Amino acid sequence: MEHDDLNHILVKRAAPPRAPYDLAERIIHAAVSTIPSRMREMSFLEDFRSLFLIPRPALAFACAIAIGIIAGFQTGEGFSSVPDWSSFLDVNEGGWL
Amino acid sequence: MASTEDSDESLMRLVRQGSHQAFAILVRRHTDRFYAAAFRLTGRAGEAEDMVQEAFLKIWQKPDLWKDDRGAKFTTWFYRILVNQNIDQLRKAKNMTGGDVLELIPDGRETPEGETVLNDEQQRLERAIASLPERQRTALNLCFYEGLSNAEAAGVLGVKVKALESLLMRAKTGLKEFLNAKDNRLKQGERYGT
Repeated sequence: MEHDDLNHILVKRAAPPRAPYDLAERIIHAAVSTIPSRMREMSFLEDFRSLFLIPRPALAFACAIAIGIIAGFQTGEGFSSVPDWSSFLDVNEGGWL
Repeated sequence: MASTEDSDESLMRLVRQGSHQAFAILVRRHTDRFYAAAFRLTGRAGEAEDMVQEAFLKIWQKPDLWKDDRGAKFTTWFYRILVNQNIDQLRKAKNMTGGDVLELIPDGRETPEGETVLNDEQQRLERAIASLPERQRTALNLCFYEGLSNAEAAGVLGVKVKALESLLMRAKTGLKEFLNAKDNRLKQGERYGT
């Protein structure tokens, strides 16, 4: 058998049957039925993960430092203040020191 | 918003974002084509149907499997899914029966309702193709009947183009030997299943 003969025979191969008329719709329907579980799974995971996520870590860190410094200055008297030992001495009234 | 005019690749991008509409367009556009390919791979209507459905649902549930940046066509990628599914199916069947994979490949003699009656030459051809090793048969189907280029078919099979050409060459040699041999015909009136 020659090469061309084989190609000629291969061309004559019967066409496969058509897909069942509703196969596409069945696939689409089957996919729809998987949406709720898929979405539920995604939302649960996303929710859980979002508890630990910081949207802009660098910005959040910088803000935290800035707020800390400002709050520190407002609640105390700054770095130049003399340590206040009075409360410590009050605690020592029992004479254990 | 998905449109029927969008390319397959654009639709896949939307599917990755969870667009069921894009998925539906892809399914309606390609079901017939992929069913035909699956039928040529399996030779059985029921298996072809399951295979196409499973493959589409797989990409719906795991759309991230589609790697846009690799530049592959959606159809070529989908053929790869079908081919891999077919290989898995054959392996499972082999493990279950403990037999040779080739023995499990249908020879086109299934006879359900609504089938196409084949003439004698077509029956011989079906038996000849069914007698080929799985990879040679797949290479032949992809290049000759699905219209893939050698490079695309090589990508689907995960081999180099030279290796694919070798598979095709051996497939054609095998077919010639089978068709030249005697006593390889199906019985008259036997049918090619749908």
